[in-house]
Amino acid sequence: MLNMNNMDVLLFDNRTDQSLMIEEMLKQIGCRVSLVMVKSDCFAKLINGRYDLVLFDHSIPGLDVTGFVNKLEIIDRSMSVAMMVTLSSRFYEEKYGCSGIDYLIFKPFGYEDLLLLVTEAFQYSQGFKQTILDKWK
Amino acid sequence: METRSKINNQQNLWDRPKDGNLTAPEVRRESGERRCGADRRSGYGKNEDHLLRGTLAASASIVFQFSRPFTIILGYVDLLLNTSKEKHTKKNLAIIKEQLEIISDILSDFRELDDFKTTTFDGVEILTTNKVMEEEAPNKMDRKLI
Repeated sequence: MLNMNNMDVLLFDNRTDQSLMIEEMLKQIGCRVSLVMVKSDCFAKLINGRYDLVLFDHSIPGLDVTGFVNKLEIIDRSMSVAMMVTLSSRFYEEKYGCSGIDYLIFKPFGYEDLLLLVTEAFQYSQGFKQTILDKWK
Repeated sequence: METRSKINNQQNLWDRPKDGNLTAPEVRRESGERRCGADRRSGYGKNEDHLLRGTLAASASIVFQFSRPFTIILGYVDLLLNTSKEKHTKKNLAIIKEQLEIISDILSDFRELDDFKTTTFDGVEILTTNKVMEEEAPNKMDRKLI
């Protein structure tokens, strides 16, 4: 059984109604959540602290997804990146297949879907940390 | 006078040329574009492409517009289910969740739509979104049997 109490999630969404719901859900799972609504705030948070997962919405107006994800990778490669999406999986495979997005979560999603995402992201993050530690030993 | 000459030119286009070909080369259609009346009615060639494009655009729009409100509703129902202690409320919330999951499945079918197929329901043409049964993963009961 994974203990998600140590997991830090950065939630980036410009819609208050949706983000508040997801924030509450993540808190119920046991994550520490930071909510941002602007891209600059997102980068500021990432520079000042370490996160295991960044969860953002694809439908944020004016967001250049590829550029955003590239910047995230520059800041921290060990962190998982998940995008909330609505359209066909074919579209995302073609457009963002080579970008650094680790997970896609299709809307509408519930508690179980989010729990699955967080669990996998946590395992990935922990595994990456362990690999880095092994290299340094 | 100028207009008159234009009309004359257009008429000349359709005049029988010396080589006996009745159709002017500029307006002659490719053999692939030719359709008989029956083909037009059943949807053939370009018409079918337009139908598919229209359907894909409409289904993408439905999924895009509906997904966010459904995520919020489904999320709050889940949160209430997890926190509620009253048995009756929990039971009702479970019914709401079940119905929301059905809508969620329909939205997923619309999302992955790549073909234009219709079925008739009482004389009305309805878009077929359900996946073929063979493609579906075995359900819980089948898995138990396996």
